[in-house]
Amino acid sequence: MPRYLHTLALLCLAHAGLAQNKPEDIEVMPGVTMVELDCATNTLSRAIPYDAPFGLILKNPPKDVTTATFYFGKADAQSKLPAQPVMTYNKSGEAFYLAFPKSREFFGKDGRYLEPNTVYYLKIDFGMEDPLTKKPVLVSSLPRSVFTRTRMGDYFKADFGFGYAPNTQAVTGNTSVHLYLKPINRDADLGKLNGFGKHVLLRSSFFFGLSPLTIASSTEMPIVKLTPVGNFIYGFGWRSPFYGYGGGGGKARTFLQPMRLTFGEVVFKQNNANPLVESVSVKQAFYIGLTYDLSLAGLFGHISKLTEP
Amino acid sequence: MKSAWIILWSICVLACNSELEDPAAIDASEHLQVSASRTAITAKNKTTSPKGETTRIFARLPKKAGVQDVSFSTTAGKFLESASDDVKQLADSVNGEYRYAPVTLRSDTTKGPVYVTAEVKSQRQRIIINFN
Repeated sequence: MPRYLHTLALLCLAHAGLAQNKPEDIEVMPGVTMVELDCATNTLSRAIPYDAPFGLILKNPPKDVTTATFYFGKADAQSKLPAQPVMTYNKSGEAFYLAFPKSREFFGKDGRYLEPNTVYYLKIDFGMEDPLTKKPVLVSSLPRSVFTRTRMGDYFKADFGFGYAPNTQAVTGNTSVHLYLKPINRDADLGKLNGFGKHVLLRSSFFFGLSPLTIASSTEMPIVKLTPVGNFIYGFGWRSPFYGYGGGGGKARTFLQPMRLTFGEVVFKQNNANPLVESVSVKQAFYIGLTYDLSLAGLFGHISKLTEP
Repeated sequence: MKSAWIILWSICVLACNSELEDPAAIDASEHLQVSASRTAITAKNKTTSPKGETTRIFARLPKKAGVQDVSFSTTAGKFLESASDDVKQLADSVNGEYRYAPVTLRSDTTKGPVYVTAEVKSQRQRIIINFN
């Protein structure tokens, strides 16, 4: 069996597995990360994502309750949380389901998704209808805090691609690691984030890397590799250069968001042009590159999304 | 503050472009040069110059080329250092930004222009000494 068929079969199985976790009668929004909250143990199945929409599924809710009322806000503003609940959802099948496909449903005024490295306060009031008065009665309450945790890896992103240095007329193959000043959530749709400053910080990066491949070059003296594995590169990157300035979404995001435009220097060696002088000097040349996020898992994920209706 | 870092980094990146190595851009003084203390000497003859006359020939290299062997050859006469028409000398005499390899050429009975060639690596340079 060819290896790609094997991979495809695994992808299909994973897709089917995800579909089974979906509560009945509830349509999961595409691109929304689902987080399960086990009411019995008050634990989350995964970290709450930042800069991206997410959905909450309540597992093992208290017996006989029929409504769940959510309160959500920044932990430091706990005392200022609105008196009215954020949302009330009725029970659907065996699980409560609450999706936040748009940030505006959460934070109507600032229109932003959850911020990274921030503690939020979540309280869920479970209720049921009093059979005599037909009015909702509070049965139990589940308060907890959630933290939009970031990892070191959220500040570093690897990519690969090609570059062109006009000075040496060299086409190079590059791979590099980008350092961001803000954590990057790859699931976040850049087109749906608000704020000019945030766009700048989530798109711009510093990078270092290697250029192991020089496909063509035209110099009087040949280019010599700086290290046995290739030339050193560094510079400035601009993520998703052709996507998300005037809104986002759509299938264009699949290919355009992982793209990156890079402006940098390729550092290489050249033999001295004077044949009498046996020396090698280190040179650098400006180059422009187009790279792609180095995330095979992410790439397969994007491709699988393309097959969704 | 973060934006300032980004701008500073961008300027550094865009401002740096090294001058590439180009053989055509090398100054003539950086190449091998040959000179002589006298470019015309008397040819050997029994009456005026029974032993022949000598001239000092210098091959000059840029100092950064390091100590290198310079091969000399002549179409007439002999080098005193080897008593033959070719000799190899070390360019180990430093003066300013240059290194020098000296040889002494003695004339023989040949009359007319004599070609003395110095060679280092792939570079060759020639000078004409007239034996009168």
